[in-house]
Amino acid sequence: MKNELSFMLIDDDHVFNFIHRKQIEKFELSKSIKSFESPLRALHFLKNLSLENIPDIIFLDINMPELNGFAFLEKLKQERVELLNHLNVFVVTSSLNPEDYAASKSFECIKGYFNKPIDLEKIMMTVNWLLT
Amino acid sequence: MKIKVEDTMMDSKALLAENNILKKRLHNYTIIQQKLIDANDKIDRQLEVYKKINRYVKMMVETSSLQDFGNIIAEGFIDVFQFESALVIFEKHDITSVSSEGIDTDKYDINHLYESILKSVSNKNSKKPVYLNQSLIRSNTYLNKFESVLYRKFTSNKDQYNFVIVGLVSKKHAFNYDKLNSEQLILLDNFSVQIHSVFKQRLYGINLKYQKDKYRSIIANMRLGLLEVDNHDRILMCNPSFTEMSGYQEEELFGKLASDVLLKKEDHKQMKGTIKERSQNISSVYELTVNNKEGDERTWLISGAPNYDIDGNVIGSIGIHLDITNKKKTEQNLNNANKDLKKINHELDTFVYRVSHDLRTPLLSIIGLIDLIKTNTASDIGEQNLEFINLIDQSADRLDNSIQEILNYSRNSRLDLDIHPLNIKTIVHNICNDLKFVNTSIQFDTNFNDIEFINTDKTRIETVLKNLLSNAVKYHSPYVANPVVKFNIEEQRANYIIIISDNGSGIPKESIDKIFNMFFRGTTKSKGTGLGLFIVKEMVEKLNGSVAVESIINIGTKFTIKIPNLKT
Repeated sequence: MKNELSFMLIDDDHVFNFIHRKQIEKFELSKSIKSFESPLRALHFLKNLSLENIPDIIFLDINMPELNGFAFLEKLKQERVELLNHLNVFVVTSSLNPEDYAASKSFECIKGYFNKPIDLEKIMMTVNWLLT
Repeated sequence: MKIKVEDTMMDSKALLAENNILKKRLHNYTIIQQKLIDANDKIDRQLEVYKKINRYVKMMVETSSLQDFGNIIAEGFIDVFQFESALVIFEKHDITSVSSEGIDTDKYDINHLYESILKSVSNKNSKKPVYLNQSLIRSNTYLNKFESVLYRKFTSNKDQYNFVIVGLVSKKHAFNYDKLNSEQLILLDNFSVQIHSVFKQRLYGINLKYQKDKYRSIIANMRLGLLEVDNHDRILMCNPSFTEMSGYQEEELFGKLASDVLLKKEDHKQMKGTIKERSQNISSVYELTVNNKEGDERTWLISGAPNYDIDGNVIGSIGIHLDITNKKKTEQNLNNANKDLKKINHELDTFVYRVSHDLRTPLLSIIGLIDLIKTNTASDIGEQNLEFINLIDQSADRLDNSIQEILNYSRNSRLDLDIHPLNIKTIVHNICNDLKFVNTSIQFDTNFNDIEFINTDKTRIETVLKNLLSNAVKYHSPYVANPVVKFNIEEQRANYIIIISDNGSGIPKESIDKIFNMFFRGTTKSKGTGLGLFIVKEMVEKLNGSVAVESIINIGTKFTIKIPNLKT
């Protein structure tokens, strides 16, 4: 799996995108990491991608201005429903609200729900399990 | 002609003898005649007595009050048996009626007299009349004015009454009961029994009348409206409360159709349904909106039941009506307030999460960045800088814990229980696994006694166990070679008993009463907020359970939680 995966990080706080990027880089897993502070721009980027170019893993924050994480996925569903089935989304949030956790259960593309600070090893175990 | 003297002598002798015989016979006849006259007299007397008795019995039957009834009996006793005075006492629950005849009430206190008699009666429950022992009467200062006292008591356990007749004869009349012949005794007993039988009839009569009066007064005075209608909904009867409720007078209601008077056109259909139900012997309770005479809309709660004639045919229905308009309004207000409160609660909940989220976000980025620095093997930051960074890390962790604890507390006090079957093994193992990272030297010894699922609130039980287990790890003893944290759960009737124990440093005696207090911190070594155990107690109590602690310094601490197996 070494340097094979493409990542997409969506978090309005650029510090987290930075931290997550560094962590991923340290594990030497990625061939590419794209980070977005604006969910709208992330949406725009995703919906124009062809199926073969979609990222393998998406880290998605929930509480964001413009669009929260769930609204982001809803919008994507409206515009590119077939895309959604191919996404591996990991919610990465500092929210402790169980309502958010419950809401994440209604999206099939959400493959994991992690509270910050994340333990990348744990996430990668899930990724490993998903991709093999 | 020669006359024989002997012959005439003979004749006169014979005559004399004959005369004697006749005289004897005549005497016997006189005796017999006298006896017949006596017997006749006696029969007449007895007849007279029976007539008297009958007269008194008749009077007893006809009396209306218990007092008069007693007076008649007392009078009868005096008249029939030539007693000087008589006392009649009736007791049932709180009713006591005392009647007396011939007793000088200026001289005697009736109650006192009765008490004295009671004291002197040896066989209180005899079924026969009891004559008071002469020596007992004489020795009683109150009774010794009387020559004789007769006591007769009737008791019914079933109807729970006592009924006592006492006959008294004063010394100057010198009536001697010992000389009472068997006929008189029979008469006395007969009279007593007759009195009793009349009394019983009266008692049931009184009961029946009492019951009737009771229900009549309940119906008249109850704050519930009562309405009786026939099979066509025509009004037959109503009580005062109903006229008050509806605003209509009785005469405005009688003979009219209840639906016409009280209901709006659109509700007539519903009423037809209930009328049909009654004809099928069905009772029901329902709410109905009616218009009173003033045209105000009122809500009534009605309990309706079919009304039957003596042969069991349905002849209409009887309804009990309660005006619940105000209650309805209050209920509506309460519902609205409840809705508002729920909304506010939810908003507050969201707000608390939002605030905690916004507070935590920069904090978590600090923690993440520190982690990057610490794991960045390429940079050499120096030993002292690393120490500073570790201190920053600890402070950030503590701040995060504080935020989470405040969040937990605020959630616990506001949110309802959310009960599900939870896998206790998974919960405990997850917590222990996380704690193993904190301190690798500590052994966890878990014992589930085959319990897998418990019904309770997930967030709360998780927080409670996390707090207690992490405390046990945090306060392990540095002097013990094999620090161990034990978890044990067992079922006890409908409860679970969870014990979390350690061989750690223990809690000092002077602190043990305060450890569940808000913001209490037992030691300066404590890095917490002083909320952890307070939240444990609050949450366990919210789960309808209890928590207790035992601790010996340098030996260990044991927390015992008892929580019910809640229904989902």
